[in-house]
Amino acid sequence: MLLWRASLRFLTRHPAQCLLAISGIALGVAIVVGMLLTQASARQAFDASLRSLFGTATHVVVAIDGEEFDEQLLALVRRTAPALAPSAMLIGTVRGGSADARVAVQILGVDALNVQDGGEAGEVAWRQFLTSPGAMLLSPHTAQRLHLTPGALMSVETEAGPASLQLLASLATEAASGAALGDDVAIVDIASAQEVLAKAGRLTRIELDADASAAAAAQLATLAQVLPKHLQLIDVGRQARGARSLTDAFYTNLDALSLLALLVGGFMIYNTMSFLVMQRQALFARLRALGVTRAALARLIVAEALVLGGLGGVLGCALGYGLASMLMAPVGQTLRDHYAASGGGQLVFAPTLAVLGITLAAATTLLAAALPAWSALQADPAHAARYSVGADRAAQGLRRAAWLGLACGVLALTLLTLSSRSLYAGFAALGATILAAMLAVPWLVQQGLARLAHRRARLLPLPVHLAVRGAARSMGRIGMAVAALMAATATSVGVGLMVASFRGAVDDWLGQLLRADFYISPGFDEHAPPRIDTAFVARIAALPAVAELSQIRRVRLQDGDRDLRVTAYALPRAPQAGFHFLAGQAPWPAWDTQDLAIISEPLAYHLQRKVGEIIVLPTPAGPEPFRIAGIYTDYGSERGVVGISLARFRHYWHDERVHGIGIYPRAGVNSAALKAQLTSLLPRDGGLAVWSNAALKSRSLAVFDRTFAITRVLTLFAAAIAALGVFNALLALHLERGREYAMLLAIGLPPGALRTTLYLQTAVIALLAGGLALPLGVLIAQLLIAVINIRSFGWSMQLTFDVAALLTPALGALCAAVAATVYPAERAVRINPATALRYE
Amino acid sequence: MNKQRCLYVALVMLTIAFGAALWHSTIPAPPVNAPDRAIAALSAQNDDAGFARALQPRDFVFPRDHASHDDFRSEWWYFTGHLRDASNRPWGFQLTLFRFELSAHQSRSPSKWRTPRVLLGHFALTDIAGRQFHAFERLSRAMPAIAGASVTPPAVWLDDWRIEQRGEHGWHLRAGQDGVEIDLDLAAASAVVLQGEAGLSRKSSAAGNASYYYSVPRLSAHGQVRLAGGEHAVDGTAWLDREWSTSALSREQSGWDWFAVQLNDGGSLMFYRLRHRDGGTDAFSAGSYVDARGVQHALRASDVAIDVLGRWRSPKTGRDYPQGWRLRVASAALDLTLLPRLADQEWRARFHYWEGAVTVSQAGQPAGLGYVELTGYRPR
Repeated sequence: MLLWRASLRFLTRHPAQCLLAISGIALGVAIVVGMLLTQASARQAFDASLRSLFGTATHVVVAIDGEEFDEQLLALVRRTAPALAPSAMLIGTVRGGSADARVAVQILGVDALNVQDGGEAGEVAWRQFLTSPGAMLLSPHTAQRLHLTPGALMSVETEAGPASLQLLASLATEAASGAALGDDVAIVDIASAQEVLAKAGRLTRIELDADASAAAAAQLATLAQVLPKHLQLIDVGRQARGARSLTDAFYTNLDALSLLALLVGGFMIYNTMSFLVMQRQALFARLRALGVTRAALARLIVAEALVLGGLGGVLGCALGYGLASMLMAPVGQTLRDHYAASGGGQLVFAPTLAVLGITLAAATTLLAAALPAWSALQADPAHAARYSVGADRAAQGLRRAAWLGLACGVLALTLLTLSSRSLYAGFAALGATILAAMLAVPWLVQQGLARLAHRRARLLPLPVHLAVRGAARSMGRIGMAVAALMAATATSVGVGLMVASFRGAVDDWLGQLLRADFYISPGFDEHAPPRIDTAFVARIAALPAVAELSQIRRVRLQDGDRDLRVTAYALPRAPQAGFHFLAGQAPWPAWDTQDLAIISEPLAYHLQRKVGEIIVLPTPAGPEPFRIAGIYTDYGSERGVVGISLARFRHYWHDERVHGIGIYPRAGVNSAALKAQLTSLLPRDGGLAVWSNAALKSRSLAVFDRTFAITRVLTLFAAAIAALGVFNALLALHLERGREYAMLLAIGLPPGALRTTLYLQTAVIALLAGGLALPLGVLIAQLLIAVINIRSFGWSMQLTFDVAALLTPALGALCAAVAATVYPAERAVRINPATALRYE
Repeated sequence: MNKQRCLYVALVMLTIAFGAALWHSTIPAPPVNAPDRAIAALSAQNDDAGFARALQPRDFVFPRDHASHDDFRSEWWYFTGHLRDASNRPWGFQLTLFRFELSAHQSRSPSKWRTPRVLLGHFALTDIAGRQFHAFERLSRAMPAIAGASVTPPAVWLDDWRIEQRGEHGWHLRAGQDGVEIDLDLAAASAVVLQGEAGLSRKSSAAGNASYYYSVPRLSAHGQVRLAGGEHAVDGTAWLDREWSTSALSREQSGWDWFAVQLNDGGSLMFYRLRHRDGGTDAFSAGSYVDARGVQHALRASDVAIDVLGRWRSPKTGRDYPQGWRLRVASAALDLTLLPRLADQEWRARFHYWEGAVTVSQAGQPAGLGYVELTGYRPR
């Protein structure tokens, strides 16, 4: 009982330390829980949107060119594969929403007969859904976003003109599949879809649901045989797995970030707990001297750790939830931007995560307390009461850690040497590199400082000498914190440099690529159908102010299980120069006359294709070989793109429509007037827009910045935690040395000199951590660029040094360290030496 | 540009120091809504406006009335029968095509999907020797080349399933899926029986809550059964029920038991028992007995005593069905025992019900064959 009271009394008399301990644990847990929660929610939303794209279908029949096909084919599919429950769908995009917020809404036209009623809506609503033209279902989230209540009309603009849809009900789950309804997806009956999209008689796909039966397998085989040539049967399971694997790189990165958070959080908790234990070493020694057993003290420390860990864990879960809700928006936006999936949306709270967070906190706290507790309890009571033996013991561990660090470094090199394409190996090498630095740095620093203090002792002013010696001696105690600060700082530096390099590369690339003064395109919806016909192109070309036009047409092809994106270009001379070829030559002279292809760098990486090889494109006329003439820089798609000539595209696809045109005006033309003229020629439905070169570029860079917003938030968070950890550790160090400082004062060191010594000591430590973080940061950036980027996405770029990215994190670390010294330094110089020394 | 993605995120790495232990927390999947209300909605009561109703007896004209009556909400062509091949191997079959109108109004639209007409098909083959019940369902809006019901030619079809009238009282049936097929020519071997009041079959006291209902209790059947790659030339007898209406069960009626018996003496019996939710028999339960001489006797609820001899609980759906009945019609001196030829003849498609071939005996001697339909039974 006495023991517990001693513990309680200590904690209540040091509320600030108690709070620091709990907040340290909470922050560590928060970042782990926040990341996992964000990730789990995003993953669920993404899977749900995949389901909304594919339903529960196992196979789909689609046109080879991805366009719509005649609904007559449904009869053939139904007869051939009745066991597969064929279900027709028409999918399209409209612009709709409230007057202030027009958004692209995906129209999912399903056969209402295959819809399972959500229950609440009831039979009447179901029948209305089938029989009322324009009746739609939305997710509650989307309905709310668009300010629609049941019964409300939403006017929409389509290729065919204006139309209106009426919200019948908002359904939390998608009726057809039971999956959560995606954002900005309107489910309508297929009749309404054909009407609204003006595509009577057309289908986008026929979904099939094959079970494991022999009949299903036989019918699939027969169907593949009897389908006309322009249709194909796709195994959705394989395709969905492909879509998932695309986002795997995204999630692998988030996973890695979570683990970084865990590591930083673990260090944080370790520092906090060792602080609490070390500080009471004298108390424990006295208790031991009074006859309290080691076991009793150990129980006390364990109980304390569990209580603090539990409290911190609960708080951390709450904080993590808050963090996740902040992160959901950027993560969801990223998924939408890049994967055309409606990720994001609502945060999913998983009780398992709360349990995980609290358990993690308690377990880490316990582990973190175990080491200092063990060393505190091992000490001879009489000795420990006077002097911190534990710190010296810890110092002995530095050398061992350094050897371990060396081993990690060797591991990193080995991984990089042995594997050239594995993303996991890349991450492992990166992790091993950072770990190697963390393990080796405390020992290196200690050795360096000790030597400096020893050899140069006479050359240094006394405060500096004391500071250097103090820092060297304290490495055993605070080495971990310094290493964590260095790693977090280095990671911030590395990520910052990588992002800056990447942004620079993209900026250059856009500057090269975007050479037209204006572009006419549907905007950024890559699923938008081609809407520009030859008549429209001719009208633009005929404008006296226009000198030349470029045209592009995109098409998505299915090559086996692979989604192949093809862009067909018709380019005048100026934009031709915008392509930067990494391999091969500019193919322009024979561009329109031969079957040549240029492939983007990521595609070359993923397909492992080289210049001169053949890539076969599935055209409506059958597979056609295109010779790869060059590999070009493209940061536009990590899936990769095949570029071919628009003339060759038209030859094989018999389709004259294009997605976008670039406009090159004659010299001396007034830009504003030309833009107004172009705008006046646009169709009225709002499906096309005129973009200026600058607007397109800034919008592209905005997407880029949004993508990296999460990264920045997370690295900042990790750095903040590390800074707090250092703050904590330094505080512990200085408080522990209180008597030492009193002694210095007692033997005549002026308080001002002591203060200077303390700040210097801190600065030495922080500068070391920050300084070492710079080369490590550069190394991390290089690994990210040369290993992770390439293996994740196939993009290469040059490392560029951005001063702000380089120095900001290091300065932050210095500030955190100095801030941590204010309280102990002021306390040390004000203390009465007699009181502090009384025990001596 | 777009996409960059990247994400990179970053970072990090470190991680992996932990051996790429990736954590994925499990999150419960959203609940899937099980009940499929499509059928319920198809036969829902509301919005009767614009439909014709069965209010009084009508003059049946054949063959016209064998074909579709588009102005009524729902209609069905219900064939059941018993077949045997040359080696006496027995089969039961059911082929039903339902026509539903979701609305009496047809909106103008360029889309062929904008039709209120829906067809539902049920085809089952009971392989009595092989102890197998094969059942297949089809559902589609009426669309050219896929599904429809027409007066000229008088036919109903759903994909490659087709019921087509041949001659005044003859039909050709074809249906199949997954290697199970029937292809039958049917010829009427008995007169048309107008059920209820000269074909007006009241289902409750509410005016208009009635259907037009006639049967052809005995049709001779010839054709083929294809099963598991084998083709069997078969002969047998079939039963046709035709019914059209704009109404359905009233609220307190929970389902029905329907019996159709072809007696060896040439007579036939049809009786449906409308059940109340409390298990009681509705007073509008009714039927008819046609004796061997062809004379029709109307049966009211009180004319028929039904004792359930046993029960069968579906292991797949948990529904608990009666199995085996004693049917007594005192006025006709009938005391029949009906036993399923196979216990599991349960439909487990959008609708769950039991419809199966039964044997009929009297005083321990075979007395005929029949079909029984049991709807509205709930899982227990």
